[in-house]
Formats: sequence, structure tokens, C-alpha cells
Amino acid sequence: MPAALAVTGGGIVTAAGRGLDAAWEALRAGRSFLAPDDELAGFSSIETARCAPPGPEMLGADRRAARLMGRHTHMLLAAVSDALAEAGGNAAGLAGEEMAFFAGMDSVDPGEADFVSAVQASRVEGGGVDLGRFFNEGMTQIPPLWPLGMLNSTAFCQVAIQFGLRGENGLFSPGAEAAAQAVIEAAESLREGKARAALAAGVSPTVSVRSVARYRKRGLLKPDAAPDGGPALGEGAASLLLEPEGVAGGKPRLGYIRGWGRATAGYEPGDLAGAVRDSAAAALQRAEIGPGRVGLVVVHGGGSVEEGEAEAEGIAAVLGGHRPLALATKGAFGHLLGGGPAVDLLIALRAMAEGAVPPSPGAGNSGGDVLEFPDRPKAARLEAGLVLVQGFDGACAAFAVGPA
Amino acid sequence: MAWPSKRVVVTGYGMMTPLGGDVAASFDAAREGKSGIDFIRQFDPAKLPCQIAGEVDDAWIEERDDPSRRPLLKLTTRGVRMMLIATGEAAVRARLDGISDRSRVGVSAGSHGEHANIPEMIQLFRHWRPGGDSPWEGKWDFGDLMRSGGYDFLHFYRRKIDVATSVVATAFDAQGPTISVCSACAAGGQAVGEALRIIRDGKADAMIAGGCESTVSYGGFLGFVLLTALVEKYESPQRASRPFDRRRNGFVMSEGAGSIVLEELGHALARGAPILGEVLGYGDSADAFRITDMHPQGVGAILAMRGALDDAGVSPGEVEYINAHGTSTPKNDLTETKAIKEVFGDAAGRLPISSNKSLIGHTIGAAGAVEAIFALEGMRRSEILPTINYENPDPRCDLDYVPNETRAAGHRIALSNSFGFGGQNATLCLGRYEGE
Repeated sequence: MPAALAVTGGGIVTAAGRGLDAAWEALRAGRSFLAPDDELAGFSSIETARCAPPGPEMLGADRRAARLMGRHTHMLLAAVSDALAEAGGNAAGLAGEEMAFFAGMDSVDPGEADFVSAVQASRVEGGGVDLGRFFNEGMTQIPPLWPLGMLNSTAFCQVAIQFGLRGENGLFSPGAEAAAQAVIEAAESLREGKARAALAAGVSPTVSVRSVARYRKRGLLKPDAAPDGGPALGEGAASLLLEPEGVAGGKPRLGYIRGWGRATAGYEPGDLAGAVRDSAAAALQRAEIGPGRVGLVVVHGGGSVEEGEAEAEGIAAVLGGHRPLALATKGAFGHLLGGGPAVDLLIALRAMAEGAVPPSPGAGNSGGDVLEFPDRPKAARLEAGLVLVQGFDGACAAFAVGPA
Repeated sequence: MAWPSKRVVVTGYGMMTPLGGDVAASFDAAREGKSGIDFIRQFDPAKLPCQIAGEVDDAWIEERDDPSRRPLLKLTTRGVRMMLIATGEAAVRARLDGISDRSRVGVSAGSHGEHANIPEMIQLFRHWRPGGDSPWEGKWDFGDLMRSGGYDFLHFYRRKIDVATSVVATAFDAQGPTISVCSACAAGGQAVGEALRIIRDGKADAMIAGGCESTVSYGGFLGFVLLTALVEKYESPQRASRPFDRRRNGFVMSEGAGSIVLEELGHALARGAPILGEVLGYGDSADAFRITDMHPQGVGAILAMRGALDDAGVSPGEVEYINAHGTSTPKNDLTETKAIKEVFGDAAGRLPISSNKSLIGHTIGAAGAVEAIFALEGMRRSEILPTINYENPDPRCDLDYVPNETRAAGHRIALSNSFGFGGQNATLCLGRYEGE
């Protein structure tokens, strides 16, 4: 069996709250946090699953750093903080340069609120802005660090600073494919011996007019609670601390990542089912796990009919006639985009540790003959699992996981 | 030097800089010590404390646009448009069309999408309804926004971090792995480094890698003015960017694009592709210090340089040139000097080090790629580009910065440093190709 990567720490923040216990118990109870979002009343019937991460002061950030942080930073900081704490404290006992850190994150939108006063002070009749007045009067009202808050890498670096993470690093954007890339890069970094431990994290965009409009324009968010159950945007983040089995020592394990694979569907009308199949097959092959041993599939379950059908077709091609239990988390927590893969990985490991698969809100009988979505928590001995990821433009990834 | 299992060579590169619309023009002007910095033309900088920048001539862009790619232009920013042109140059040179299995060609680009711009803000603020006592209190009238025709989706698209990657992949039919890197000024270098890894891992035979950026606009400048990072005291635009000089006082904003075709050596040889150089190694790190400042001892820079050397299997004594990050800010240049001394010890004093930013300014997300190309082209021509405007030695920056004149050199191994705002660092170890 190839060398597995031990998951020695996990941090997660979702609409269910902070911590894996909160997310797990919510799933077991079949709860969905999707609800009409009053702040987005300009759109028709938008449901979201917002998250309330702890404030920066509670996460140990100093006041100057906190001024730069958006909610996406708070979520990422909380997830990384908890993953490190679970593994035994800050930097897990390793020097900063021995810790790699990779993350996936969406575009960070400009903070218009920081601009309001400056623009108002400089507006001229007819809708333009007097640049001279803007500079003389308006600009002084813009927080000096406003531009930094828009850089994705700012949030990433703030987390690196907070925990002294100086090793290999990378920030990938924008969607779930980028977050999967972060997990894979972390794993590859350990495989190549360039780090002794690696944090792999992902964070969703914050729910805002811009993010909702962006994803709806892309066709990712349906205008209404349509019969095909288009995805709803959620907020959340998760982080896994990975260590090679030989390095992790006596630390408790949440489980193992044993294999990973990637594939791309290609251009329209790309072969999405083929990409699901190829990525899952590659993950299982790397892990040397036969399809018959897969007891759990955490599906991407993005919510659209096309994606769901392609996912079922792809996984059927890999599993043959075998029909494992399945779980979809997006009906509970919403579509977390960059936060999704890490959340799903931690949930999969928890399910294996508990020997139970919770229900999937909204999934119904969508598994057909391929997958079984239980309608209440179902006990099962889970020897191996698959976590599936679909990102933008047909990019797919899969992870083969195992219990501790 | 120990070769890694898979060697990755450079089979093509292209660039757009304030000095020229392609590699030959840019390098030729650079070797003559010309500056690409001038007073800003793209917008009226009156009242700004910095009114200079490195701008790519609009005419160079117009004359090099490939007509077949015009439909893509609505999706692009100025920076991505330059990236398309630079990649076109690289692709022709690499004869990229000759690779038939396009699923084995990928893209890794460093870019940050379009930044917020004032017209867009103004459009949005038409739907802001002030209320309360302070100017910040109020709310957005979304219904009014939607009734007015909504918000142009292309604004969203152009802001996407991955727009450069996806547009280049589409234009050059690259169906392999794609990756979008956003690490500020280290993005171009990290994108090349990640492409190196993808090829070594066997995920692709060839990668288009590089970076692009165009922040010479009111909105783009505003941020850096607020941060007081730009040069504010200068005798003339051409003399403003002066890395390692005692009178340096800030960086000069610039724009550009650099695109490199990386290819697995065996694959390149099998198809008879030209080999222009080699990417020997890549190191990356984080300062984990402060968002607005480098670590004063250059901890992250040291880790990145050592990482690149280790990855390449190259000892410090084998390095014959360093293409410095060299921004012309007081702190960066001092810290980079300290870091080089730490990595190279006594040999640091004998090592030629130069900063291309003295010639073209700081191209932000493009810098790592553009400067790697300058370093590679320099090795091919056996020339080291100078650090211009080096007139007043700084006693704390006491290395050989190749002052003011291009130097003949038969160098074979070079490092190229890129250090990002926020603390992400990337170093590439580059080599002259010397056969199998």
C-alpha cells in the first residue's frame, strides 16, 4: 500500500457553527441551514447559508491586522487555528519553515463601504467624480489599507503570519478546483519531502451582492428554488493538517488521505462524466483501493441536474455494480466553492470514524442505482471512501480516504 | 549538480514591457540602459504624489493583437490582452502548434484580475441611498440597480483571478492542467515554479507559464499611493527607479506580461523544439512577518533562495548571477542584500546582481515571469543587464549590482527572485541549456 498521509488536525467553520462536532451533529440531525436571505432582497428568492465565524480578536489577531480582515479571513483563520490546535498546538511543534501551507480562495470583492464617503464627497452633477476633489477631500477618508484587503493573498498571508508558517506555500483561485489543488499541492509537498507537515485549507466567498450576482450570472445559482434544485451559496472554511505517517508519531489521527486524482472535462460540451470517472479512478489507483471496498462517496452534489447526472454516470463507471452509501453536504451548508473540498474531506473522515453516514438534505433518491443516500443516519463499517470535487470549467478532482 | 528525474526546459518565451512589444525589442533597449519610465499617459495623475509609470505603448498592443483572438478581448483586461500577445510570441517560438495532444499542454498564470475602477464604483454608487448621521450609513437599492439594467457580468469576469489562465487556455487550445496563482509580486515567479512541478509530476508535457498585470490606472494607483509605496521624489521619470542606490525612495508602478513555454526535455527533443534554457529549480516560502513589510532579516527570501538551490541540486558556489527582486524601496533592497549575503556567504561579494526594475519599473504579477525571461535571454546572449540609476552607493547595500552598463558574461546558472506583498516569496533557478 502506498504511503498514506495522516490527518492529524482539522478545523471547520460552517453555518452550523465552529468545529467538526457542530457540523457533524447538524448533518446527523438532517438540518439544512439554507434560508431566504433578507439582505439580498433585490434578487428573487435567494437562499443562502451564512456563517458567523468568531471575530478577529477572538482569533488572536492584533487590531491593526484585524482592520484588514474580511469575513473570509476570519473563517480561514478559525479553520487553520483549530486544525493546528487539534494537532498539538501552534505549528504542531514544528518550525515554521517545516510547515507548508496551501489554500483555495475565491476572488475577494472590493469593499465598497470603505469607498462610500470618498465618492460621495467627490461626486459632481451628472454622476461623475471630480478627481481633484476626490484627492483633496475624498481620498483621506479611505482607510489606508483598503487596497490590501482586496488582494486574495492578503488573507492568506495574514494566516501565515498569525501562525508563523514559512514553508512552501501557494494560494489558488477561484473555485472548488482551486481548493482541491491546494490539498493536492500539500500532499505533493509532503511526498517530495519539502515539508514535514502541510496545511491544506479552503474558504468560501462571503455572501454578498457581488458574490451572489457573480455566481448567478455564471449560472451557478438559480434565480428561484427551482425544481432542479440549483445550488445555494453558503459560507464556510476548513483546514486539514497533513503529516506523513512516519512523522505524525503518536498523535491521534482523524483519518488518512490515501490517494488523489484530477481530470478535466474539456470544452463545451465537455465530458463531465468522464472527468468524474477519471479523477476517481486515479485516486483509487494511487491509493491501491479496489472499487468494491469503497463504502462511502461524498459527492460534489452541486445541485444542477446536469452535474448530478454526470456525477452519477462517472461514479457508476468506476464502481461497477457496487452501490455504496453516499452523502451530499451542500443541502445543509450550501455551496462553499473554495471551502467545499476541505469541508467534505473532514466530514468523510468523521463519518468513517463514527461508522455512520448521515442523511443528505435535499438529496432524496437522487442516487438511483448508483449510490444510496440514507434518509436517516445509517451505521456502516466504512473501510474506504471517495470525496468528489467539481470546479469551474469542468475541472474535477477526487480523494480516496481511509479511517484512522 | 544533480539533475532531477525530469528535466524541464524552456522552448519559447514572449514579453511585453515598457521597453518593447517583444523579447528582442525589450532586451535590446534594456542592454542599452534605456528606461521605460515616463509621465503617465493612461489617465490624468494630477494631484497624485507620483505621476510616473512604466507603460506599454498602445501602438505595440494594437499592432500585435491577433485578429483571430478579437472575440476574446471583451473578456480581457489590458494586462490579459498583453499576456495573449506575449504568449503568441512564445508559442510561435516554441512551435507550440506542433504538439498534437492538447490535453498535455497546460497553463499556469499569475494575475490578480481587474482591480476596482472608478467608473464601476460610480455606476454602483448611483444606487446607494445615504441615511443616518455618518456618510457610511445607508443601504444599497438592489431593485433600482436591477431595473437600471443590472451590473455588467463582464465586470465580474474580468475581476476573476483565473481570467488570464482561462483566456490563454482558450486562445491556445491548452486543455491540460490549469492553475491560477495570486501571490502579489511573487505571482509570476510562483506560476513558473508551479508549472515546473506539474511537468515533473508527469501531469503535462508542456506548460504555458507566466504572469501579467496592468495597474496603471487611477484605481490601481490609489491603493499604492495610500500605502506610500510609490516613489514620490525623483529628478526625472527615467531616473526614479534606482534599486540599491542610496537615494532610492519607492518603486515605480509598471505594466507588462511575460509568458514562457516550459517543456519536458525528452518531449522537446523528440519534436525538435528549440531549447532556449532550462528551469532547474524552484523555491517558495512565506515571511510570516507583517503584511506591509518584509521580514527585516529576509527570513523568507533566504528560505526561497535555498529552496530553489536545493530543488535544483545546485550549490551556492555554482550560481553566477542573481536577477534581484530589487524594487527600489529602502527596505526591500536592504533586506534582499542581507538575504543574499546569508545564502552565499563570502561569495556574495563576487556575485553579479542586477534589478530589471531599474529599467522597466515594477510589473507586479508579471514581474517574476518578465524578469526570468530577461535572465534567460541574458544567458543566451552571454550578457547581464545592468541596474541603471545606480549613482550613490549605499554602504549597507555593498554588493556588485552591475551598475549602469551591460556586462559581458558567460554565465550558466542564475537565480531570479520575486518577493510578494504580504510575504510570499518565489525564487527560480535558471540555467543555460547545455545538452543532455
